[in-house]
Amino acid sequence: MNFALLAEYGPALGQGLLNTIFLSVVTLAIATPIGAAIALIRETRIPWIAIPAAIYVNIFRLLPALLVLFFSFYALPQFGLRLSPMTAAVLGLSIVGAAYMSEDIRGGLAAVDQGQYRAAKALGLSYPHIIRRIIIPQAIPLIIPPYVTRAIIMVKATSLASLVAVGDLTGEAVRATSITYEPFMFLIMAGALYLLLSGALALFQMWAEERVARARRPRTSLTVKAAQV
Amino acid sequence: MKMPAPRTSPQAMVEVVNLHKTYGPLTALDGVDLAVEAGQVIAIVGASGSGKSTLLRCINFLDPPDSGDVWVDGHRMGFIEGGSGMRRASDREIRRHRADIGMVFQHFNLFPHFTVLQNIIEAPMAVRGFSRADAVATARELLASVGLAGKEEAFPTELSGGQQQRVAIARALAMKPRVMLFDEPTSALDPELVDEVLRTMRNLAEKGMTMLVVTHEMSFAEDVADTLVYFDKGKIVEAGKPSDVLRNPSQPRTQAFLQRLLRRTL
Ligand SMILES: Nc1ncnc2c1ncn2[C@@H]1O[C@H](COP(=O)(O)OP(=O)(O)OP(=O)(O)O)[C@@H](O)[C@H]1O
Ligand SMILES: [Mg+2]
Repeated sequence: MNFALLAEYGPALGQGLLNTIFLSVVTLAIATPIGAAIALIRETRIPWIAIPAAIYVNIFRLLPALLVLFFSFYALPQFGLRLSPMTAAVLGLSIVGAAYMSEDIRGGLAAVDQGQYRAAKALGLSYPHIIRRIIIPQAIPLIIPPYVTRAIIMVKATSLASLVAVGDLTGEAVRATSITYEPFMFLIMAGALYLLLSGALALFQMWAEERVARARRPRTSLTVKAAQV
Repeated sequence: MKMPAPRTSPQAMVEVVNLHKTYGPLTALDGVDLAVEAGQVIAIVGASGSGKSTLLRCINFLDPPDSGDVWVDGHRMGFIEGGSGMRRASDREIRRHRADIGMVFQHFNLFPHFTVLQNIIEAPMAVRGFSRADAVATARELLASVGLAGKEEAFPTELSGGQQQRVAIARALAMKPRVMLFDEPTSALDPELVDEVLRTMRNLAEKGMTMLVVTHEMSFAEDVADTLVYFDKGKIVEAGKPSDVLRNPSQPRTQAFLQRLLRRTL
């Protein structure tokens, strides 16, 4: 380890880490509600809103994310929309991320037993009430694992932003490497920091799943036994 | 707006007139006529796929029929009588009328994340606008009447199938329905749990509830039902006093089917 070099480029790497965290948080904060809204819209199966939502999802799910980022950074200025590298990256990553997330969320919503809709409808409950009170609470435990997995994938995908001139963790590590010819040290550093970030999400997933499992477990095994007698 | 077809039993609690329903190329209901007087119990039997569930779903407009009319307690489902005749009901209006019709399913379909009490009070509060106190009081009475007093705070998974189905009946009754629809309410139960649910339904019938019951429990049909209806390929091919239909069906097909059912239950 060359500690002099590390000290010299440490601040740049730190700034890169902050940019990566910023990108991740903002992208997730934008993509999650949009993805959830798209999932709910598609679940209504009302054609004039569900079909455009399905088209959106499938376009951005099937395109390379890098192409979308390049588009928002290089091509939008042609239409008079000049975005800063960070804004272009957030836009591109959120658009793609929301498309993916909507699929994860929709999968959870669709996995709730159809009989629940039927029973709730038969009681005269309205569709929004059914979604809010009956379906979503049952879908959340099903959504958490794929959702957090997706969030981890999205955090890692923020490294694409380095290719549209954002000084994120990957960008700064690559820059330091190309100046110093010390790839090992800087890439290891960047890798360790990514592990910390996505590791935090993985821990969150474990905590959330545990919490959900506890909430759904019958409180006393005694009543269960009594019921089976 | 198509005018309603003429009714033959305008005083009936439920009247179904020339009901048709198709799913793509498949005809599920092929011209069903049925009248149920207030307080009557109708047992509906028929082979799998003959349209029994579809009929129940069309009656409460869970699945609107393609054509034909459903009248419940003098009201034409899916329509509103205005000054200038009938108009199609809005979604909200359909829901209000649907709430007058209780429905019980083969697989109970209790809300697993709610306690028994919450299962029962959710719709009365949200749809009928009952206060929490009123809804809870009604729920406790109903739970007692189905033999489940004290189970308010249990979760559905903590109950046996028979107990869950009785909660589902209480949940439907909490809406104070005019009519109850039962779709094979005991088919998913272990044999030893069937009787407790049938007993609950018999009590309900004795209290004067109008009931349409899809069932293969022939003893229940014979003892409790006023009329037994036999369904085949989306049509009612036989209807009459249960003992008559069971002993002397007029159609050979009915005979064969009922023979099999009777042999299974006896
Ligand atoms: N939502 C649906 N979409 C497509 N086809 C359907 C739908 N519901 C019912 N069907 C079809 O309509 C026909 C009548 O079905 P239905 O469920 O009413 O029969 P059933 O008499 O209740 O049968 P079972 O005894 O098996 O419950 C069947 O052929 C079924 O496949
Ligand atoms: Mg059925």
